[in-house]
Amino acid sequence: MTGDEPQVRVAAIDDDTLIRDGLRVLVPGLDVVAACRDVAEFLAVRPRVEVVLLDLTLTGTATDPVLQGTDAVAALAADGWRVLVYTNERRRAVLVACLNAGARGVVHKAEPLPALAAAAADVAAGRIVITQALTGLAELAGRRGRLPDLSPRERDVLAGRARGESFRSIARRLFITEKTASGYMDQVKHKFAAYLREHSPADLERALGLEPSGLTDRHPRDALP
Amino acid sequence: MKLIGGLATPALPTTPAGVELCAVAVFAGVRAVNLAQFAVASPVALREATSPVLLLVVLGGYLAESAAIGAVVVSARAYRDRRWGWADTATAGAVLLAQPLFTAASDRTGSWTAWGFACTLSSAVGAAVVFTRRRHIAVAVVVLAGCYLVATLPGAAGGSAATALGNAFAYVGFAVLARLLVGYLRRLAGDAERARSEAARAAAEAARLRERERQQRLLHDNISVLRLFAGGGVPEELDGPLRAQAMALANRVRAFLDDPPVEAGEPGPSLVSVLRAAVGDYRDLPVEASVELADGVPLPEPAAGAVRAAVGTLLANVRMHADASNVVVHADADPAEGEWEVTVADDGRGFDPAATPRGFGLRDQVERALAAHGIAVHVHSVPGDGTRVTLRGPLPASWEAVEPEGTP
Repeated sequence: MTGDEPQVRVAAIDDDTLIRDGLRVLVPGLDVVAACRDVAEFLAVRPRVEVVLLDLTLTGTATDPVLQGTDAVAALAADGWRVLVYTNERRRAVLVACLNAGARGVVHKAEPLPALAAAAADVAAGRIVITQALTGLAELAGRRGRLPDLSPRERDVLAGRARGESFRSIARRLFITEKTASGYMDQVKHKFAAYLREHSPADLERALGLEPSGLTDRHPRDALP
Repeated sequence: MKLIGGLATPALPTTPAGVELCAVAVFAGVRAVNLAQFAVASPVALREATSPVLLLVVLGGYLAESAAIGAVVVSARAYRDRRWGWADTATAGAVLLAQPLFTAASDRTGSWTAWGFACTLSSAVGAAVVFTRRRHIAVAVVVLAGCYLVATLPGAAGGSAATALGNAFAYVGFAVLARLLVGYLRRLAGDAERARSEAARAAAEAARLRERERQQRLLHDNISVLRLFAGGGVPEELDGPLRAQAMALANRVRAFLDDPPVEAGEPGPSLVSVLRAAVGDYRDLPVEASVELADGVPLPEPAAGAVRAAVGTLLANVRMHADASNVVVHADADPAEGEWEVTVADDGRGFDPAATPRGFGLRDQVERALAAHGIAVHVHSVPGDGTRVTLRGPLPASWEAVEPEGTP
């Protein structure tokens, strides 16, 4: 490798050709070694990658439905892959269900592309990646007594992040380094992800007061005639 | 679960993961109880032992193995690794075979000098937890009972031999009962999990029907605009209005992809509904609203209108100046301070509040307008590190946090 920056070896599973082929060109931090249309194609190739980027909506032909949504996440996670969900899906209940199914991270397609590369690097390094909306949910879970393991410092950092505060600002406020602040947040995300994995989505709805919509794997697109 | 202390402070969830944690507690608990019993009896046991040194050596090894397996199962929150199951069985067998090294033949049944029997019963319980296949459990029980009999029977008097045979059956009994219980709990948790997801599916089905209606309305509105663009050659006088409509539709599509708004069935205006309404006007921004912590905080008029206008002004500023990729509207309530708090933050350009004069928006629309309702405004911004504006207003004295069911 003669590249300037370390690259993360990823596979992209997306039914959108533009995304599959575009990531390779557009995101310098990613080494896209495989781009697959669906989970079955990916599992047939089994490329040596650190992270699997997975779109939640994979449209099969009407007669041949493909594995998608949280089922796809669960299948890949059970097979030992580190799954980073890369999606337009914004409903929190669905994103929660992805982490419940074993995803290591969630990134929205609306995010700037460098954020995707950073998220892939984080997931490759064993960290958990969550969206701003899920950070708010983590704070809610903590405040409602669902994350009893959080230390006072971890709660401080989480409260700042849930309010959109940067690590730089949190670090200055708490007299710690930025790296320490983001380390606390990594711990929070691990504990939150562990909590989500151990509780059924129905439990989470009750505990966190989520709307009961969207916990199934079918995406709105499927519901169209 | 008192047995495992802080590990499971909220009640164990009635899920498969909860059952495994419960099984860990029972396995580790039985072992701990037996070792504690022995600790009480140990002065007598050491006095009666033929070789106290050997007793302590074997005990030390056993404690080390128990500590190791305890750490492994507690950190894994489950005892499902068969390798540890076999290791525990083998250790227990070795401990049983070693008993004659430090006990007189007359002490090998019914005495704490031969502590191996009581302590290794937990291995039979553990085997029923860790092994899924019956023949594996049977092999473990045969090893335990066999080692026990080999160590105890030779040289035993008639009465002691009968006791030893009876004791050997205890391994079988413990394993069978533990297997029965754990197997049943595992099936029960599986069924509960299925029932819960069924109920969730039914609720989701109803939600999806509503959703579909919403989609059809949205898509219907899109068709005419898309048709006009597809046709090309849009008349000049229609170009401006058509573009505006296309932008509005694009924003509605984005808003559509967000969580559906909670239907307002609330008595008066609440802080949460005011914020949702304010955010709803700025759907073209990458806004995330995390407002549940302020659920139930009432916000009567005219303060409600002022807050809505202020948050709108702040978001308009973000849209115009910040170039942000992440905008957060956050709400919280702090009964201890008697205050609610709203934060509007962006990760955009930021500015130096000391050096920059406040524009009309921030000064008049936000700070002055809110001060009239007893709401304090704090602006925090650093060039290159975004802007965070915090609003704090009074909570009614009677206010109590809304807690969903099951909160400890």
